[in-house]
Amino acid sequence: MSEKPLPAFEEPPVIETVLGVQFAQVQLLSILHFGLYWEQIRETYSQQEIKPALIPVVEEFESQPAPEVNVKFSVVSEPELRCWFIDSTSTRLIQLQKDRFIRNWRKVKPEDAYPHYDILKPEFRAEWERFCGFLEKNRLGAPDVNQCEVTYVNHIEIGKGWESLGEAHKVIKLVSDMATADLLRQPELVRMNTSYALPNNKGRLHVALQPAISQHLSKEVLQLTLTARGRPTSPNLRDIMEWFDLGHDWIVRGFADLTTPQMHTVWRRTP
Amino acid sequence: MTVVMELPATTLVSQSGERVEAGGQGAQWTKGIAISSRWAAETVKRVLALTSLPHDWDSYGSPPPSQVAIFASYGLLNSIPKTVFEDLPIPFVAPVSGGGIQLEWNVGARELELHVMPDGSTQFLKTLGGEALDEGPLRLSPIATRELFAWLTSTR
Repeated sequence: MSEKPLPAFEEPPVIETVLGVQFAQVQLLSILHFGLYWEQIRETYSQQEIKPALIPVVEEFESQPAPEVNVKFSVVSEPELRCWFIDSTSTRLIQLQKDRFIRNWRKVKPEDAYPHYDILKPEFRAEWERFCGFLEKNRLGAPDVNQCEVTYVNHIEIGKGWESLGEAHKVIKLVSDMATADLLRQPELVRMNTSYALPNNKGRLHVALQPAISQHLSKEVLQLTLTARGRPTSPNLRDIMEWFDLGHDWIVRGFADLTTPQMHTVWRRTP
Repeated sequence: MTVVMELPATTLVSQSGERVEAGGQGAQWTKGIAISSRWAAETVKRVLALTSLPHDWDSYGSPPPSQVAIFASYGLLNSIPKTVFEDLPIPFVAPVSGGGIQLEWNVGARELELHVMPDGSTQFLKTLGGEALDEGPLRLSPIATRELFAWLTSTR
């Protein structure tokens, strides 16, 4: 990681964070266990929703042979699903499926302040340890973690440093100022996807930029999503936390690199 | 018991970043409404503009469209497969008395009206050459909206 101090913002535009791990399917973990697990956390996470399961995602650096297309039908006794457990403030969420454990924080009200990684990481750690304890107690085995993920979603509001997509260069350094162009001054849409390899192929940082409407602001925004994903050195808790630190470090420094000094003033960057 | 279609390549492999978009493959909780086409961007702006309507905007005591109706309209727009219907016309967007929203598309002789009620439920009305063809409640799903918009844009 860089020796330079991590950039910080007093009013960052982050509206959601995701800390998650993916592991080899815990085969014995069934829908019934999801209910048993909910009993353990229900005091804090009182609401639940059922969602379709996420498919596994793996960051690879070696070239892979194209998979053979071969569709077959089978009969299963239990559909793959994902359970959402939501806290009473609707700002914190645990997502659980046979091969994923994810914890989200989101901004609900304009006055909700980003709690910062120093709070969110220990919160994830406590919930992950509780989940691993649950697996152990029920003799379901220890999860073999194969990917870690950190995601930060930012909503960069229109009217705060930029007024139209033609001024996207005032927000993102990757975009050029086209104000003096003959024809292409005002784009209808600006979308961008870039990715960067983490050091020693420990994973990737994916960056996605696109215009969106913020539901809680009811306002046009540029949605800037940064996702760091990769394999921890081992499935041990210490290595998972270390990977999160790496992912978070790249997201914060990457965010500062990608965005302009003018916007840093809007978000009150320190130092 | 459930019958599932099983695909062998069940793991999404990201090698260049092009095949896996940022955003954690659905691990996100808050979804901004992605603006991915001109008509969608303009429609969202028109729906947004309704939020600033005053109370009694119709002089019959109507409230402005409810937050539920606004969010339901966003949900409706999100459920339209934009990669398939990239070139839809911009709909007529209007408030409805009582706190609802009407979206209306016209393509040739075909007209599709969607009424988002104050409670967020949605009704559709299909007309051809001014004659009602079909109407009823609309369940928000890509399959249901794809069917409606396929009809609207069909030339047959």
